[in-house]
Amino acid sequence: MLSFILKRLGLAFLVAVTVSLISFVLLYLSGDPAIALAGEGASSEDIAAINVRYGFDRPMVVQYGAWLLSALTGDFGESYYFKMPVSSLLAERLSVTMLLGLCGISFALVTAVPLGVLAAMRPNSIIDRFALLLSVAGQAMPSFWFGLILVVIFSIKLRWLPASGSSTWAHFILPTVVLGYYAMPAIMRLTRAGMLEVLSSDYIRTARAKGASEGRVLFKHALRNAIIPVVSLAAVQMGFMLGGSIVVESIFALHGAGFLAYESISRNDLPTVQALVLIFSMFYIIFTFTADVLNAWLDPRMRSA
Amino acid sequence: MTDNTQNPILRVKNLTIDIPTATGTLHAVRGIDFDLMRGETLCIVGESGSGKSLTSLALMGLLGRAIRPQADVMDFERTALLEASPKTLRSLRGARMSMIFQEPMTSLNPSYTIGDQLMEALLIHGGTSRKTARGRAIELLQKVGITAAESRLSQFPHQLSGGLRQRVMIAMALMCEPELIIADEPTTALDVTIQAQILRLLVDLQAEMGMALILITHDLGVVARIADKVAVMYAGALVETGPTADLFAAPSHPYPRGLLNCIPLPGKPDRCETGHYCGHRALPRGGGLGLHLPHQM
Repeated sequence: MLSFILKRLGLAFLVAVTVSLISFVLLYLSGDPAIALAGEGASSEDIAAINVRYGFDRPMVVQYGAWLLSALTGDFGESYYFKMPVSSLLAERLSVTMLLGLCGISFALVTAVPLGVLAAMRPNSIIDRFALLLSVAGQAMPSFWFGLILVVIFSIKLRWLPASGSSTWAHFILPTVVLGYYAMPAIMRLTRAGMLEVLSSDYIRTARAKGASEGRVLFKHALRNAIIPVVSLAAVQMGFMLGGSIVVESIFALHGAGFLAYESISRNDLPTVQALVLIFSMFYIIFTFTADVLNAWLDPRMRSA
Repeated sequence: MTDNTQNPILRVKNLTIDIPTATGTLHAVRGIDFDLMRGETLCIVGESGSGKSLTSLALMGLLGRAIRPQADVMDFERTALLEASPKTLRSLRGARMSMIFQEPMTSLNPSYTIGDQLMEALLIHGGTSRKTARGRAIELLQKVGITAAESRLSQFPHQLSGGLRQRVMIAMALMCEPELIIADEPTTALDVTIQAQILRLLVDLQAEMGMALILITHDLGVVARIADKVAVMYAGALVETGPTADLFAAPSHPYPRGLLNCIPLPGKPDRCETGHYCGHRALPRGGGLGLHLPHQM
């Protein structure tokens, strides 16, 4: 198990370095940052001055090395637009996004996994149909529309929950539901499919032949094997929630990292975008690494891989 | 409870299993009867689809929700298996009656160690400590001929060969010293050399522990060697049942006669004719078999 973890860690590190290189280069390919900074009608002297000030005149490799080194110490440079260190900008915005992402994935898992198990226990029953209906609706409804409907019902009509902002925990309930409901159908259906397959397997019959109770059969013997693909999926969705919650953040006026990414791209705020791309991909790498380790713990056959 | 040796440990009268399907009810097992005494070996033979496995699963109460077996009598000792609550059945399964399955490769949970899976039945039923259960697991692994038993406990099923896994399955079935073991073709998935070893092991352990054994098999050679009684199934019905010697000496029904003729002998022409089976659905329920056997024609 330890050698498996070390191997995966090494792999994750290599992926992280590659991703950082690609994200650095890609952003430079999108246009000359000095021109973007100086504006359309800037003179060549202005551009040259900007090149010197921000170090754009140095070779690409040197720029990458300098950027990576300072990034490792938490220094991502200064935002062109906000005129403040990117790191403090990120600290402020990321906490909102991470809280939202954690709540969202937890909501999705807590609703989807039990529902998937119930649906698999009684395929084609009313519970199964209800779960299917719920998941089809979740897949079909755009999250901006669902978010607005929730605001209309719970904030405007019933006045139970605040519609926007991020100051109290109550502000996070509606965004959590919207974000979590978006991820729920896939998790639910994967749990259901996995449980259906595992429940008809020979080792479940063996467990029953030993006199194991239904709960023991379901949770100890079946769920552990059925949940393995769900772990990988949840990791990817968690990464997606952090980077892709722009829509939800905009609807509920949560100033998170997703919204910041959108703003910074439209303002050509290069250091911020670079830092965000790097951070988001690091999150993806951390989540997939965690999922791999979790899966290896669940399924011993993966430990030798 | 007084153990009267005259009383059968298992009594089955008119066991019927109907399976509802989209195209009509399948009469998979059609009114079979047999008794089994303590320490006795009953072999159930018959071709694939004749209802042998379904019968054994019905005895264990493992048919699942969709299939409801019926019988006039299906008693294990004094427990009427068909009327018993799920809880009563659970307390019997694995403790007093246990089962060895046909597929050693898939019958063990890939996520748990051999030790965990061996100890499970004892921990569920026995109320013993983990330490005692562990000792018992090692003892039984040694008994089924597994070397380095202690280190095997921490291994996972995928690290074991098919033969070893089937030995583990046997050890697992024996953990609580059951009075009845049902082995459903325990050697079909294994190499010929391993098959003989596993069967010998099973029979030796049965004699040693005084268990009753129901062995489901295709192998008439095995039947001749180990069975006290034989039940021959065909298309869901019991076509012949009786002491082994009688069956081999003078089978009364054409199907077992045909079956015996299927044993290849050097120098004899192949006379394997067991008839054409026309499908369960076409058969009338109960009563006469609609078999088209060469001997009848």
